[in-house]
Amino acid sequence: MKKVIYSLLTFTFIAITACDNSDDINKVASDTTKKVKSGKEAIDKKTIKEFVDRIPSPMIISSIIKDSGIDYDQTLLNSVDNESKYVIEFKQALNLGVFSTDLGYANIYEKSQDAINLLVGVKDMADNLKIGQYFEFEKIKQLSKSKDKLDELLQLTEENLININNKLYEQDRSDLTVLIITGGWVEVMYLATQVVQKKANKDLEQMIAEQKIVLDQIVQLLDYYASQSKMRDLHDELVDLQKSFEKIKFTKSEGETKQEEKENTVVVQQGGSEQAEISKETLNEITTKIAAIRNKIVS
Amino acid sequence: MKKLLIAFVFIGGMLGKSLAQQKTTTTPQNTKTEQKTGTQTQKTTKTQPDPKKQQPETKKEEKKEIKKEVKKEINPRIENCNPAGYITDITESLKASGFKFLRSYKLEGVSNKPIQHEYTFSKGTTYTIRVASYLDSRLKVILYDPEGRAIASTYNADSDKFYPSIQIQCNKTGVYKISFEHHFNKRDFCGGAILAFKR
Repeated sequence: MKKVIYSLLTFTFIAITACDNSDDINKVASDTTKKVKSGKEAIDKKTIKEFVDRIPSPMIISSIIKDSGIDYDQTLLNSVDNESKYVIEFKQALNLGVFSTDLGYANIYEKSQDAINLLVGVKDMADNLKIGQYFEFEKIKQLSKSKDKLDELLQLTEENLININNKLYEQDRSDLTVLIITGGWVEVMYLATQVVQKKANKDLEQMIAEQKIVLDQIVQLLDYYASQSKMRDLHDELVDLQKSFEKIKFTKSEGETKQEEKENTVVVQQGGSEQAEISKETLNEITTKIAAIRNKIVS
Repeated sequence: MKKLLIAFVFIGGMLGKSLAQQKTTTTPQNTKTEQKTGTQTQKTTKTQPDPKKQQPETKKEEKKEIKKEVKKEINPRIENCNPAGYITDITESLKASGFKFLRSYKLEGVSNKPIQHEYTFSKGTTYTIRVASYLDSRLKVILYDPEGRAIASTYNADSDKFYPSIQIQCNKTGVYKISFEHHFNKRDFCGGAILAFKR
């Protein structure tokens, strides 16, 4: 009799727990279904947009290059003559990113003729992708000619690129946005690594090392589109690049963050810091890998 | 013996059902969200009406009327909202400051939730976030570091003053969160903000 009662109590307990966990079970089941799906239909547009919004503008690295007192180097830029090679959307989107970064670099150095040439590259790539109408070509061209309107020029170019990305989301073509971002990042890393090889610069080396965080974000973005073979190949190349970045050592120090008010602005003194240690060997490895990925994109 | 067995199975089933029901009814009633703001922890508790406690029809209608009135109050401002205008004004203030434009954020719409954006800040770079909104909005900007700690706010509780911008020299590369939120219970956003940088 006792045995029967114990077994009945156990059964009752299981029945209660099973009902209580039903929501969790449903959740796990739905998560699994989500994971099974691959390709565009499984991607949450909002998540992609949030990811892309986090990626820093290549203009920051271009500014560091200029502020480091390093001369402008036109030979590093992609040639607009290569345009005819980009016949598929995959290449067009990547090179829209490449030309945009080069345009920003030329603009920061106020090289207006180069900027105008690169602007043609940007416009043509955008036209091929049927998003050229969202790019204010004439306005940007006029600003490129004026020496005293650099800020306006940089802002308008940046806004136009953001606008293009937004239009691509609306058209459910966020895979192209990811490619534009990737092309732009690879190009600015190419500029930075090439410049550092010619003239050592600690600031720039630090900045290159800290790009690990951006690379991780881009790899994660490309991972969403791994069902597309070309995207997967690019993803794999960047995963290989990640392995070189893994060799960089980061040292963190903690400290108290303070804020004070100065001239109607809240000024933050951030406590603590993070220092990257990158060996010459690792830097060379990254430089070689970036150059290979970049040359594949522009060829 | 058979009777005992049936009784236990019945009790077990009923208990399970009632627990499951309890779970579905209690969850939406008390939704708690926590926001860590530096050393402070803000707790907000949202209580939804209990569906079991039905209110008389007249009270329901009264509530509907109040809601309509609130909407009437909000809508004209929202409908005429021009975030681009605010952004243009802030951009003007950037000139001669040495900061270069990175992002603009349109702050518009009706929501109880903050409008949040993320951006990867780089060590050694100085960033500024500038915000403008309609005069009585009491909109504040809170900046969160990559660890999720609130490290700056445009609202000073001691002086009850709102500032139009935050400036930070970044010491840690990482993803920072910029949160635009109302200080009180306002729900309508109408304004603009800019993120800019300098080296």
